[in-house]
Amino acid sequence: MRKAKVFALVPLFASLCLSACSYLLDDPYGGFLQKAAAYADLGSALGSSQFLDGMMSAEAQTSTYLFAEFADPSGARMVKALDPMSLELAAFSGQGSPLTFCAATAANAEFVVASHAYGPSTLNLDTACPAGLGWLAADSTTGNNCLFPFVAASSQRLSFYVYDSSWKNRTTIQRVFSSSTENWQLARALILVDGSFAVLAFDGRGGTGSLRAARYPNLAAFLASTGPILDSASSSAVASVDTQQGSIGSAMGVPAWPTVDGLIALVSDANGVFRLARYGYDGLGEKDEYVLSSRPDAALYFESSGTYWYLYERSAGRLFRLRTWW
Amino acid sequence: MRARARRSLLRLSLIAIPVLALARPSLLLGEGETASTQDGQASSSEPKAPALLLLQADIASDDSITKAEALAFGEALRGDMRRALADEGFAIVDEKEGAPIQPMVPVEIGRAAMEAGAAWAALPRLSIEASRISYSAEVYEAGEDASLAAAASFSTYAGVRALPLMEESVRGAAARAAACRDALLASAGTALGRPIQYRITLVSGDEGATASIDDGEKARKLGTIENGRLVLPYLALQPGTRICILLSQTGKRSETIAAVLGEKAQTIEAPPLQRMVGQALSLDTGPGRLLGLGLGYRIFMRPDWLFLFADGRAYEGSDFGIGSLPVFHGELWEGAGAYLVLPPGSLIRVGICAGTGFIISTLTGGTKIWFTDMALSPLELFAECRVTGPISARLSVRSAYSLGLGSGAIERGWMGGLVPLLFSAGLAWGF
Repeated sequence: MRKAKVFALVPLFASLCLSACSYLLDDPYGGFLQKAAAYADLGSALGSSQFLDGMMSAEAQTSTYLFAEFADPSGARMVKALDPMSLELAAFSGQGSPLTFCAATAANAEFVVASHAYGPSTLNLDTACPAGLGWLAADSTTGNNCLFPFVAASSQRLSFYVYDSSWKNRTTIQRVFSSSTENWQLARALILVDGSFAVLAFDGRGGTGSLRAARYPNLAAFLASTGPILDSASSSAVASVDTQQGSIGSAMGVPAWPTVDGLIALVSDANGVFRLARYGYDGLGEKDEYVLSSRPDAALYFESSGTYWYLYERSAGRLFRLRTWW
Repeated sequence: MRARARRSLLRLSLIAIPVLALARPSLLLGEGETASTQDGQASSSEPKAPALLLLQADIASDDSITKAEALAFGEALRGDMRRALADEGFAIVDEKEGAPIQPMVPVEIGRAAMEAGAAWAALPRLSIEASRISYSAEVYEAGEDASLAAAASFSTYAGVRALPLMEESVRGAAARAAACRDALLASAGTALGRPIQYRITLVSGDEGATASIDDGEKARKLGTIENGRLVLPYLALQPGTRICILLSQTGKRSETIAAVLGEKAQTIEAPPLQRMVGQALSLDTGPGRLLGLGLGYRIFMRPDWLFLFADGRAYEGSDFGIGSLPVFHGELWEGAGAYLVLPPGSLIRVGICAGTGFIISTLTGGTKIWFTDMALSPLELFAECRVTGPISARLSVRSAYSLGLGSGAIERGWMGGLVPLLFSAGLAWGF
């Protein structure tokens, strides 16, 4: 009995030791700099333009770009492409989206940025496509372009469209999010770097809720599945976030990013300390975290490979490419 | 005719004095005093009384009176003083036979008392000129700068009628001397007793330091340390008295040395005087800055109290986490500060500072980017604990507000991570 009490204190003692070590070692002057792998002063390069939250990387053939949506002082939105490694601006100027920004690779290997498709090597405007209204997940093997609308018609079911590679023929598919009665909304749908397909849903009723990311081996497996998206597919993994720990925003701008290493979410505690928490797909909850201390006045984006993440300081106009902490 | 009459009266008084002395045996008592008072020590059953050296009478006369007549008046005056002072509780010690001390100035009187181991000295002094006798009864404190404690003087015709007048005057002087003695003893907080029989020696390594009796505004200079020591003037204090000597020197903090006087000769060793801090250097580090060192400098506008400071640090910030590379920081803070409340030399002192700071940061590992930040420190609290000599351990807590410059790496707001304060710990050397 006494031994049990002693053992019960071990985690507490270890936690205190870790906290003390963390306090002694934490850099008082901007800890995220230690993760910095690249830096760009976009504020100077873009002049009076402002940066929005939208930031996504996409890979087509041998080209990979980080697409970022900006707005000029008049409110007009534009998209810039950057080299994800050097963070240098590429010769590209695209039109932004009136809704949530999405950049992805279409089934024909073109970049789809907002509502237009661009050539993979030249980044020249190819053709307009309806992708500007939702999240795009494409499968080059089957030629399917799955478009998941930003605005859902129902809180219980997810309606999405499957286009062919030419964007001409469309099939509408309707699936329920879950067998339970939660009020789910789609937050993201994307193909990860390993070809797996992830759907991120958010239940934000009453100011609280949860995030769930369902991961399928590939898009074809998702399309072949007929059960509830979040909890019936045996081949999927689910991560959940207890949003009662803090605010994670609305569905349209949920600061959460599925990666191959887990779901990353920006959460805060009652003391106003913001941290980036990583939740595994094994359903065991939070795996690790990275503390940001105060709410960052920044746009964040995590590559689906889980290798790098990007932080744009809005006030200073600086973009950092950062190494992940796991 | 008048001169003849006076001479006759003087002769008559010469006869009358011994007769009166017989009537008052103590009048002429001198060498025949009781043994208990010969050496200034009272018997064990009596309260201890401070010894008083009764000097030989200082007599000066002209031809209007014979030498023997003058001596008789001198002895009468001395006898009156002996009796009156003994009645007031003084233990009388007689001056050795021989010529009176010359010249009879206070310094010599005080020194004579000191050498005799007495706390006081009494001098009967009289002069006879043109058949008029002028006399005084004087009581001095012992010591190099003996001060007059009490005195009475009068002048009258040198005849029999002078004797009761002398006695009356002497009693008044004795009473005043006793009052002076009682006041001194009361301030020393001791019972009546024989004062110490030695001169206190003060040993100090602070050459040229000045010693004085620490008595607040009435500080009395005792001397200067020479060749590592100072033999204090004789202080007529009782054994067991707690004495406080103030040792001071320009540029150093004054020190009060307290000692309880013993029966035997005493040497008091004074601790070395600490220099007033005019400048200070410090080394420090703190949470988040353990991989580096800070160096601080203070120059005092008012020694030990008010200062301007500049402190800089260079260190690498690293959490040793996966994906982390150290970030090099250099910072420079400057401002003003003050010690509060506790006096210099205290074991612990606390103070406050305020100032501004500049921080430069650069990434390591290939990406060379420099950031420059500026911050304000509206309040810094520090505490110092004296370790040894001029070395103190210092802890400080600095609040710092980043201005969030565009060129900086630190967002606008309070700095310091999870706890928005910058802690430092180190050693400070004041000089």
